Amino acid sequence: MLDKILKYFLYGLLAIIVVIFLHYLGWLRQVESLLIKGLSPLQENINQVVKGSKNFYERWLKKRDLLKENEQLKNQLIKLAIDDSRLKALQEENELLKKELNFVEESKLKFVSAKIISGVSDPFSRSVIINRGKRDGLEKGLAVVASEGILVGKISEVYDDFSKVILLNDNSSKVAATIQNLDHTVGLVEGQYGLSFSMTNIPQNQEVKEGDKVVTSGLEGKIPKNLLIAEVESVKSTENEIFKTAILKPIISLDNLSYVEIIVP
Amino acid sequence: MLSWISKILLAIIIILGHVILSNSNNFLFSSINLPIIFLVLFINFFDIPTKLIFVIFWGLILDIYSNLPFGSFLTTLFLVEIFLDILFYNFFTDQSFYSSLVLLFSGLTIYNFVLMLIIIASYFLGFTDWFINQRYIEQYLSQLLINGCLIIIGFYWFNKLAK
Repeated sequence: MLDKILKYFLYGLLAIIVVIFLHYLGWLRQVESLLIKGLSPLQENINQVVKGSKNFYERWLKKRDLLKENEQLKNQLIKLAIDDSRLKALQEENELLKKELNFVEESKLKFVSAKIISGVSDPFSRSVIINRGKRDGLEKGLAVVASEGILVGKISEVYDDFSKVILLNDNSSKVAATIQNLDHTVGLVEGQYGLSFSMTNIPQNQEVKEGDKVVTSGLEGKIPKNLLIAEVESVKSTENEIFKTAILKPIISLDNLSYVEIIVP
Repeated sequence: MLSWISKILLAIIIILGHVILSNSNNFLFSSINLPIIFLVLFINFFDIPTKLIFVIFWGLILDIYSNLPFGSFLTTLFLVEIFLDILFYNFFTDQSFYSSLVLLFSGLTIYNFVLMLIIIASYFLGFTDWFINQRYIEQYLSQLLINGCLIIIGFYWFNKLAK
């Protein structure tokens, strides 16, 4: 029996090596695209049912919490309305100043809306498949934002009709970012084992405090500047090290995304 | 025995179920590993080639969906299947409850261990997009082809001279 298993082992290993080679040569693209296309309707429907039942369960469980949260949000809304009016005034003032200084108007961003079909998560990886691809003008490295305009990930692979998005909390995710503090600290937002993310490479002399907003730095060509990423939750600093790390708190949960938008050049 | 259509449907249901469970963001559900449970429970129900086709299909789907280096899940699931077969056909042949538990434990351990090794290797060796890319593979294939041709020529001349 061992001989038989060994024989099949060698056949299987050969098949896997061939598949991996074909993938990296790009010859499997059509097959991969077809597989996603074939499974996506089923996957999409099941996904929606699962999300719906999960939402119902959560709502039912958290009714009391939600009422309390609702009250807090109402209060927050009033504060935000005041802030909004201040912002509008500042915006008008800014527009006026820009005109006076003959500023060139910044190019408006173009968005492509996409639906999340499916995703895979394990302790190291967090990625999702969206229903937009090369045909919709997507390319590798483009920024993916949630409807609120908050960066949630980057396009990591593009097929004709589908794309793979690497979420910010994926272990291999790296995004150039800036902290909105006095120093305008620049660093890298890196995923933390699919759980959360942190900002690394912050020089020790930079002052970073809890609640500071982290935005994209615009140093990556395909990701526009000033997209909101997260806010600083805490700062980890060791005296002997050159850099310190800021632990970030996501603005929105990356677990329950249904629709996203991709910023195209 | 099941027909091929039933087998394909079964394989699709298992992998879709696994993808949905793994993506459920619920600790309990995302810990369920449907492919390994299936392999352990039905270890004697399907022949080895069928099980190998199953794991290659599952691995391919997971590799397409996942962001890990392509081939991680293919290799991991394949090694799990082979190891489970070796254990089952040589040591735990009775298909008892305890044998199934041992197989499940071994399968899950190998799955996590191999996946971890691949991820660590990919991290340290850096064989992600920039290392193993199309150009690298093309270069490797051309090396095989050119050196293979040289061996053929060398072999031909060596034989000719020997005569």
